[in-house]
Amino acid sequence: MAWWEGVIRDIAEYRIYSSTDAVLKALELFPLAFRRARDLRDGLETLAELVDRLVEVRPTSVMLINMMRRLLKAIEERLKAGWGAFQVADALELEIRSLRRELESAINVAATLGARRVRDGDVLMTCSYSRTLMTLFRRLREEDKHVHVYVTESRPGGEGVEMAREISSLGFEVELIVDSAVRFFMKDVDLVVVGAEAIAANGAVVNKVGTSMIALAAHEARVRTFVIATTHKFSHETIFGELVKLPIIKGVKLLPGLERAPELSAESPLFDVTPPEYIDAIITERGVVAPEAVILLVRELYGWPPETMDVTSATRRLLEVVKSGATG
Amino acid sequence: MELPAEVIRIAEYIRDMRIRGAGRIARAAVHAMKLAAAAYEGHDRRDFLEYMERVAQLLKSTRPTAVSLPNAVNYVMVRVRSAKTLKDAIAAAVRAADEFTSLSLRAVETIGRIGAGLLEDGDVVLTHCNSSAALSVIKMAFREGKRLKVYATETRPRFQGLISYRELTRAGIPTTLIPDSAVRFFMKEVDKVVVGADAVAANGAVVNKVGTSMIALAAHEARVRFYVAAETYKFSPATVLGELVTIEERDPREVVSSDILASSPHLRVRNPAFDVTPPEYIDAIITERGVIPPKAAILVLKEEYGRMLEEELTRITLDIEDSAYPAQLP
Repeated sequence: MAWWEGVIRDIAEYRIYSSTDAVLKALELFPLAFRRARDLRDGLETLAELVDRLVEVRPTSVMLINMMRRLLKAIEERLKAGWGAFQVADALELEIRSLRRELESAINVAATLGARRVRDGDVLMTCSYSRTLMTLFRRLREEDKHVHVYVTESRPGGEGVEMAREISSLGFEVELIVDSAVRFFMKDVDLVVVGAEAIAANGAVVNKVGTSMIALAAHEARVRTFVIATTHKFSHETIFGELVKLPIIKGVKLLPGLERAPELSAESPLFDVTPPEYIDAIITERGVVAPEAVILLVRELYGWPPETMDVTSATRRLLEVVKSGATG
Repeated sequence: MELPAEVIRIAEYIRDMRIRGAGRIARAAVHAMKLAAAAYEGHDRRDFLEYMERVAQLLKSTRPTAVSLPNAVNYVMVRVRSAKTLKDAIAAAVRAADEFTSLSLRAVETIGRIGAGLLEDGDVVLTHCNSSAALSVIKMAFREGKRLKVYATETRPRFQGLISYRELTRAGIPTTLIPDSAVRFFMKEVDKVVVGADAVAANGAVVNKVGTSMIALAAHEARVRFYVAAETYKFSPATVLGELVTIEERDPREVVSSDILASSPHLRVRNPAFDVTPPEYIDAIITERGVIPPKAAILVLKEEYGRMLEEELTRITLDIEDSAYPAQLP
């Protein structure tokens, strides 16, 4: 078993609740691949396997793909400059540190903008677990805005319980509800705020399964739905017609309380897609925009058309560069 | 006279949901009334009536939302009250209880037969919670040779979906359990939704296990047909007189452990057991008397409870006239 399997499994089995945390954990494996390698080629071979594995276990995480792209570019530059495995590892560590800073700052800005849309006394509803949302709640606390929050259990997985506990530990009154009680309570809610796993070109948002139900119930009750997500979650590929793949989990593994009935034929997607019609705005670090307009921010940030380098083939290409260098 | 231990036990079982499902609790309640009547040791008709009223009260108090409960209890009590002698009253209780039980069981079967006609070969059906009437429809259609595939929601917090899953699987119907949150995700594949009911209000709104109204909304959005299977004794006559159906909220520990609650002082759990699906999202209600559009619920209520409703309305009218309530006509 590869040395990274522990981390991979945590990501694959959604033991790391926040998608941002999962991405950062994954990226930290990159420099290690070179640090532990005999030589550059060995490091790149490991890297290729690692990238394949990450894409396999978390195909929805657009941020992961986007960040991997940036690391692969950094590696490519160092290879061209003739650097060795250790130096590549150093460079990756630096790059990750700067990505982390960039991400933290983006999350903070988005949370600050998001907090402006929440009024003192609002009743909010949310689901799943989101680092960005937690930052928003901390900001609300700092601004001394009192909110009352409904949080769904968010099965499969049930990480909403952890989210509910963390929000309540900030001193907010939190009501935990089962996923099916969303419509029952929607009449009491002023605002729905959720995070995102990915944002597609048309402004559709991929997030924990159940999000689209909440957005639908909010739409029916004329309650606004905001998505808070940094631009790193925008899926470049969807501009060219690719669909975000939604993995389906079979069996009862992620259904706490049913583990004792492994014979059950159970199925669940981990994510669902909320159409842009049900989203009032996406709150990013570059401003609060209509879901359909996120694509404009992406153009500003990354140019047009944005990068869609395929990470799997990119690792192969890097390997070819080294191999030809070694033979030539 | 003290109420028999067995009767108290049945009431407890209904309350803590060891006996559950609107039909089953109704049958359990009349069974308890039959036991109570048979166990009566006094010699006075008036005393017996008072004793049976206490039994009725106890049973009706166990679950506030299920209309089947008061309807079943009243079915027996109306007959007990009109008996002239103690002997007749006891016999009436026993007979009425048996009658109600067989009527109820027959209703489930009839609903199955009628409802099966609404399902077509190759349909993908979604159901929620565990309803004998809804499953009767699905199983009957399957027995008629229609190839069906069923999605059963797990139905948090108490996993009644698991009972449906097992029942359908035993019947040979390919069934997949899904979490409640995934309903909208799967709705695109679904052809029909069939659920049960705990109560049907006069306007055709259906009170059923929490989550039902979410499913109805998602079905409506996806233009999937939404059927409710409900025996006529689940229709609520009280709603004709303007009363609301009370939605029961249950123990938080059904959702999370008490440890979690103890360690998070600002965290509470709201655990409503039912929700209300508006008639706009319901294509039809399947009863043992036929398939009706939800807004025609009053038709069933007039048929089944007409006399009682008339009496109540007369009483209210007389009360108002007595109190000289000022009705100001222009």
